[in-house]
Amino acid sequence: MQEVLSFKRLINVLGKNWYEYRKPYLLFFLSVTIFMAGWFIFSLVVFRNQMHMSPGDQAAIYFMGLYVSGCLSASFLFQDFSSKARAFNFLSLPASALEKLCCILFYGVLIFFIVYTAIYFLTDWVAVKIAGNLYSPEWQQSHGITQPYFRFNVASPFSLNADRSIFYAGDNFDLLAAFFPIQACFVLGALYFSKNSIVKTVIILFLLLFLFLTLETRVLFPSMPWGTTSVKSFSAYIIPGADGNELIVAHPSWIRNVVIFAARFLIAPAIWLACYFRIKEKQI
Amino acid sequence: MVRIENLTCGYGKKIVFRDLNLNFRNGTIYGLLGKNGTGKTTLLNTIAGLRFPESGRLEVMKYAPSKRQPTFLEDIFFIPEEFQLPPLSIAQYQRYYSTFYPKFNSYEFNDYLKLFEISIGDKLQELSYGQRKKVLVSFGLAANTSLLLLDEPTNGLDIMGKSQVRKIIAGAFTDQKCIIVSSHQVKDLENLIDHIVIIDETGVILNQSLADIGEKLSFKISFDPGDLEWSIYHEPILRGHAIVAMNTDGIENKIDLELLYKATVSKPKLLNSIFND
Repeated sequence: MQEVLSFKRLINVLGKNWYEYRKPYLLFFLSVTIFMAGWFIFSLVVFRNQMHMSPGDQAAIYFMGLYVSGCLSASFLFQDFSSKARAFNFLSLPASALEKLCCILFYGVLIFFIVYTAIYFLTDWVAVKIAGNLYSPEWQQSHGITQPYFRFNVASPFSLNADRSIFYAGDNFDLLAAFFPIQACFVLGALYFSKNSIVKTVIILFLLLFLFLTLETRVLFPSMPWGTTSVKSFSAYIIPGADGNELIVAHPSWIRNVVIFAARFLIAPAIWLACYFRIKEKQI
Repeated sequence: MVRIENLTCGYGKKIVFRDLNLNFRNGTIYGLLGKNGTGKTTLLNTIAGLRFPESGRLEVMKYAPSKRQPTFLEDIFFIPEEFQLPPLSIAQYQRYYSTFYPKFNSYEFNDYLKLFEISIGDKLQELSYGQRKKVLVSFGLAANTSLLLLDEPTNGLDIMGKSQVRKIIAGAFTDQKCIIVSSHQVKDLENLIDHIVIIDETGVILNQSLADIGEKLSFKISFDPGDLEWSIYHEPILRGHAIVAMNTDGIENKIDLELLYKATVSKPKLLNSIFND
């Protein structure tokens, strides 16, 4: 077990990684902050539209930033393999593949998510306060907006209240849950492609999506009686009958629950596991 | 220390060496020589676990290098020809990397740096290539690993630097260690190695200790054309010939590594028969 995971060694790898890459990490988060603050300033000052600070729009900004910056940064997590000399440093470091991967995931996934969310929350909080002052009830009244006046609330990632939460409103939790597997794909892509990994990963993901949709529309559906999948679930198939009645073919609900659970929580760890084996088989 | 049996290595379809058999023991500094492209670096990479063999058996300190187990990696240090050091000061580098090497000795590291006239407060990125190499050599020696691999350690060093590196490596050597130095600059290994391994496309063409070589071969400058008849290898020099011949008087003489290398590469079978008979 000591050969696979040692807490002391893991701490050493984390410390070494931080001291080596702290500047790129800090610059990246600084650029995310500038981009996000810039967007809020742009939407408040240029658009002059108070609706851009609605909870839905705030959540959209959060997820757009999360996906773009998360996938972009994930593509650079294995920059060590971009040259022979750097790959040498990575592979010859006396730590196990699991410890090296844990370190990458710690900074690239966990710390990224926490810091990104904190940056969003702070910039959003400031932007909402500014919006509250800019588009005060008096301003709204003077621009012909009738009561109830638009109220500015911070769409917080920490709130459990669906009206004010980013994560629990509508389908947002699924958006959040989908982020980690997609980001994991970019981490794996960074391990497979030492150059232009982000472009290559995007192409492969689109090809996979295209393949899936082609299989579904050209192979699966033509082989079934004419009908549709239910709107809310992939586990039911509705076949309209000639007499106006519908025939619904559904899987037991536990299958649906297992599939949803796996999609939300198991895909990302499975891809991280693939990363682990990829690190083990890496050579110079 | 290192046991290699029928080892075949390559890059995809291109085989670099096939069915290689070699042993490296502790208490010895090996010079690994060969032309460019004969697989010296590939062999060192494979020993360090950075490349996986196509077939054959490789055992380094009872470990299978391809598994890259941490306890194996912390007892081996490899100074490659091409390397990149992180954007840290030397002191930070020591602080964050030495924790991975249990036998690392900070005093020794400081001593080696002093001998190389490098300050521990310097930033690695601000040093020249040669100075960075000296830092890496100092670190590698201070790590006190059982196996130290050096790939072209003198490349990029000035004349004084080459001499310093040789002196420091020799000074840091103990009987518990095994050092393998790969180079195509034969002269740089003089007064450092005590065993020579020469490889070419066909495999190992010479694997002998310098003591054995000195006992069986003699290296001299001759101005008598008659000496050429019984020489194993000769080449013209100013007003005479450099000669490799059988050592008939039994007195051990100074080995000219460059001449030995040329003799081995041009007449591998003859040299082999001399040492195997």
